[in-house]
Amino acid sequence: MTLYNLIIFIFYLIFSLNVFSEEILESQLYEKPYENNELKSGKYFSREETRNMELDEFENPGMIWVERGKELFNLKVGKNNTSCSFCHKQEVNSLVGAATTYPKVYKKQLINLEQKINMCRKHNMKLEAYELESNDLLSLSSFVSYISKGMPMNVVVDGKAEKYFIKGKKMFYQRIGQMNLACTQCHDERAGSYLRAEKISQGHINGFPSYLMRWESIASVHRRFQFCNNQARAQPLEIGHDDYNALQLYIAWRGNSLPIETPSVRR
Amino acid sequence: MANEERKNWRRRLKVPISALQGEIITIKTMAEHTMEPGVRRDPETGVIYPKKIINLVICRFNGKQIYKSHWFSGVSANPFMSFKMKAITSGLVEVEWVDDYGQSSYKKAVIMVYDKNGKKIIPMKLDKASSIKEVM
Repeated sequence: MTLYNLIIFIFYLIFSLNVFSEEILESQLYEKPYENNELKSGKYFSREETRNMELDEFENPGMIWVERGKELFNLKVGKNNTSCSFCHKQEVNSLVGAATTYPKVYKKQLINLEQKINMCRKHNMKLEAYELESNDLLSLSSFVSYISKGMPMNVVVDGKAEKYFIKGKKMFYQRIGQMNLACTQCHDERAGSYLRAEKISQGHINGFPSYLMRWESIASVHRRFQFCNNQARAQPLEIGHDDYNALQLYIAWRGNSLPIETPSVRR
Repeated sequence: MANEERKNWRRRLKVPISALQGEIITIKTMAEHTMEPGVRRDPETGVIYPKKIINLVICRFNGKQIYKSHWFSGVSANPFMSFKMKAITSGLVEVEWVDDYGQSSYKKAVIMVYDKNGKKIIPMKLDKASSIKEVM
């Protein structure tokens, strides 16, 4: 009988602890890990040579993608013979500043910029959607981000987006993988110290899509998440997954008010 | 396939628009290229990707070769290269990238060189009889 009581007690303990941790999460839901004046973009943590490479517009290899994106933006294709610039002119329906608000809720679903471009292509231009992480899609998304360069990040997290925000926050504090690591352990507690030869950044995504030297190409946020998960020896999700979108929403909100720096260069 | 690949080759060249005579100017070039060294394998099938690199870069000024470099495997993808040159006359800067398959691509730019009095220096010599306007 005492064993039975003990088991019930243990169950009760675990259950109450769980509830307790959820309560803490809710009361501190909109508490930012960094104040606005403490926010530091990723380029402050990269090496000097890498930073110089990023700041010079000619030396920056990411500009190759931006240039191609500009061409694709003005290219007329398909049966209707339309281009992106046919609707999104400079004065009307301009895309300047659009990249600062993504990911956002659209038709009861959280989507990021790449998925939005594909949706627009499918429904408005009646064309085939690009493959995710393909060269053309990344070129377009980096061009759209590039035209709002210097504008502050400004994602909305309340209202319809709140449930995704909570999900993303939970993912950020969740320990995963063989290494048993959570994002917060490096990017909140140990930002600025060395991980092997690299300094750990605060983990903002204002420079994405960013040119990563290890892959020698532009990479989206989701591909970077996959790499981070692999480093913690966890099973990564696929690119374009809803959970990654939720995580992207939380991380973008952490860096709200940081200026967009696409295309940034990282190692 | 080859044409599609060719469409995605982007070449960039930056030459200052104008310079003073005797000034040392920097010419910057960048080529979009995979620079496949020929040792990497496809992670799924294990097949080696064939070697494909840019192995020769030539720069010509007014048709005359002024700079040449041989590259080997080990140069990173999307290679950036810059070199310096002394501005003596105005002219046409051409850069040529050659693949190890023999495919080549060009990019060109014009630089105008002025002397201290603000006069254009053009590369050809003129007789006293013919004026600059006729030549241009």
